[in-house]
Amino acid sequence: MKSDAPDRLPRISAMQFATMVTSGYIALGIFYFPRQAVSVAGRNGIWSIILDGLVTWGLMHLIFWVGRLVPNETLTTFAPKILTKPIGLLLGTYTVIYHLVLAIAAATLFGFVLGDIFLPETPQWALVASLVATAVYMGWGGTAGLARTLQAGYTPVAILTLLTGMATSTLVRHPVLLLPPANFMLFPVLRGAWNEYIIFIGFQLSVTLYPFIRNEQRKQAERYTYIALGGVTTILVIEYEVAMSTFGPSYISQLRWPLVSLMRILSVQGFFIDKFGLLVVALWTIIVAGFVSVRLWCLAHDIMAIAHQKTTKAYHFFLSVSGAVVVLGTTLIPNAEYARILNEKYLVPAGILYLTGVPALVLTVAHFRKKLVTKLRTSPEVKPAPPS
Amino acid sequence: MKLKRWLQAFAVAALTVGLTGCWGNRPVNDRILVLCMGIDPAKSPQQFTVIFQAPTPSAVTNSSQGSSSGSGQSEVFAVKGTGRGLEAAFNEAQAQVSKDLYLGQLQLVVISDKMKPELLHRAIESLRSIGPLDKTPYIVVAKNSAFKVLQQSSPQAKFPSLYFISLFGCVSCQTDAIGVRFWQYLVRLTTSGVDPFLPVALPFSQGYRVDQVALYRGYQYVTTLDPVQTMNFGILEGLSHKVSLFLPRWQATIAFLTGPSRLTTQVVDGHVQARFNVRLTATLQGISSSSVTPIELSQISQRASEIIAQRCTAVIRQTQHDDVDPFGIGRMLSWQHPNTFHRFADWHKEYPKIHVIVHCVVKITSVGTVS
Repeated sequence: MKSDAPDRLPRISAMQFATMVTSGYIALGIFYFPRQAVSVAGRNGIWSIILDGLVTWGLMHLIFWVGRLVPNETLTTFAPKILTKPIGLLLGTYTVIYHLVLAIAAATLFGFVLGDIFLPETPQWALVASLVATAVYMGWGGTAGLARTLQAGYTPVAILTLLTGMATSTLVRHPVLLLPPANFMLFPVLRGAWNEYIIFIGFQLSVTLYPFIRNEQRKQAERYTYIALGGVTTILVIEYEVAMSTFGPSYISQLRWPLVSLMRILSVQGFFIDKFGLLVVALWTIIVAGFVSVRLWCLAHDIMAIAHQKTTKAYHFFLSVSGAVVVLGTTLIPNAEYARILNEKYLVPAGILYLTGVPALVLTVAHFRKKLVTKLRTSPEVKPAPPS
Repeated sequence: MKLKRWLQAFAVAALTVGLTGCWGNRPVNDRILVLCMGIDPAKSPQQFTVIFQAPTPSAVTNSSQGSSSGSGQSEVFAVKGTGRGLEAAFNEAQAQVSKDLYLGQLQLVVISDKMKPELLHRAIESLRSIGPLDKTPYIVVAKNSAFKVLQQSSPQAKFPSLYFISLFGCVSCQTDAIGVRFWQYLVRLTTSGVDPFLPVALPFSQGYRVDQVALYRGYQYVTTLDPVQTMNFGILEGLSHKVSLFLPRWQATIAFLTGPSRLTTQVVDGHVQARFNVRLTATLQGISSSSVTPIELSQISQRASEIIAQRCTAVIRQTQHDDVDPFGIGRMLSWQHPNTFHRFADWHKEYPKIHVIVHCVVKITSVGTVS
């Protein structure tokens, strides 16, 4: 008997959801951080970072609101039902392309960082292919498997990064730069916030991930994600302050990857690894692999929703194909400077358009189609999904 | 099922090969690990010579075993290359050796004070763009020839790089902690309102003497401060550790002068004023603790403070005379009063006009020797 009710999706805990959403941002912008803000806003860049955190909090609120409309279905699944099929399909395609481009950008960027610092003679495609293969492998076991892997790998690296960040405070040369700047300039701050927003644009994956949260833990999941966002913003502010008071605004503007440069000059005397910061940079592979992995997971699920596919085989197929497309996509970007221009000129505007446009469109239409939305929201799930 | 197993095996094999980074793997035996690099002007005015110095394989082996070669042979060898850029010089040097010249372990860069600004600029820009180089090597200046500094050996360390790492890595081993890492030098080069300073390494029969700093205006060498000026420069930079001062009136020495120096800037009626607040602690030596009264102690402190403030002011005056700002007064102005700083088209023209006050307080924390 065929039913219109949605299949029950495999579920994850509130903490796993927060981990997956958090790992869905940071990785792309962390290498550029805080150059984009400092190069246009100077010392006022600190306000750009804080503003970005606040804006993300607001946009996250809207995205969760979208997710709550039909909490048992992904946006790509329920958008055609609310917005009409062509618009829903368009939105689904935008989501898929967005995930794809973010994954390509992150994999490319990390390939350049790794190639420049550690493995100058290894071909870029080999670095990216290894990274993407790892990401595919991480996502192969499905939602819960990926969430557990991220919890095991991501959290320790994040804590280690935080501790290393605190250790870098020993490098501070100009404590006067820890103070807020004397002259506040609004437009440079806004421009800095815009450029720096690349660090946050990836959190939109929650539109795909939201229905996978256990029903009773949804509120808790949202709360954990907000707390994680607060933690991330705090860490970014600390790192900003350390980088600023060590290098000063002029030098930061000239560094390609300021945080990596900061980590590279960190040396812990007496420890058995002299260049301890470099070890942390190497461990960031886990963060980037996690980022690419959740993107591929989203890609597979969104493509499956568009293609009306629901089997595990289809998931594995689309996951693998998405990974291959990411590897191929990275070969189109010849160098790090080209990647930077693409990210700043196209990725940030496209991301902000998605994060503001999608909630505006979906919530407005949902407001006028309350009956339909209520019907979709209250329709029972058919059966529990087999464990993936 | 079989296909799945094969796929898994393939994935594991692919990741094993891909993730190890073995593509560019080169055993350390096939590499010449350059520890020191010297940069000298060449005969042709448009070229410079780069000296790549590395330990000999036997020296590396002996070093790891804690012994010396003992045969009288040099522990290091050097190859030179000349060119219009670092890359050309590197290629010429590489052609003279059978192994890969590797710069990722560079620990010391020695530049000649005779380097023309445009050549030095070119060399430094090339050096900063080397990816595997982590910008932590120390950088020092050689009087006339960097090669001579690299040729000098010290009984205290096998290689020049080890000597300077040991020296600069230990702040209490120096009168002033004037070691400058490459990234710190780059920060000064790229920041408006501050000029670079670099320690000068002077070779002599027993090793090296490092008690002077060379001042640069950007890439242009300007002057070298003598040892006494360098001590006062160290006090103003908050880098002094073993600075001492003899007071003839009391036949006593104020030793181990150390403490922070805080620079602030003010704009009064459109004029820039800078103030250094120096707070030093010191030991009073050469005088018995039982014979010195609190009033005398206070007088000694006050006199020492006055002398240090005068000497520091004199050093600042000289830098103003030379239009070079190694203290970063302009930089501090740009941070504290950005609008005022941005009014000046050229800080070097403004720097000589500013009024600088040095306020120094010496606090004597211990008197005499403990028996």
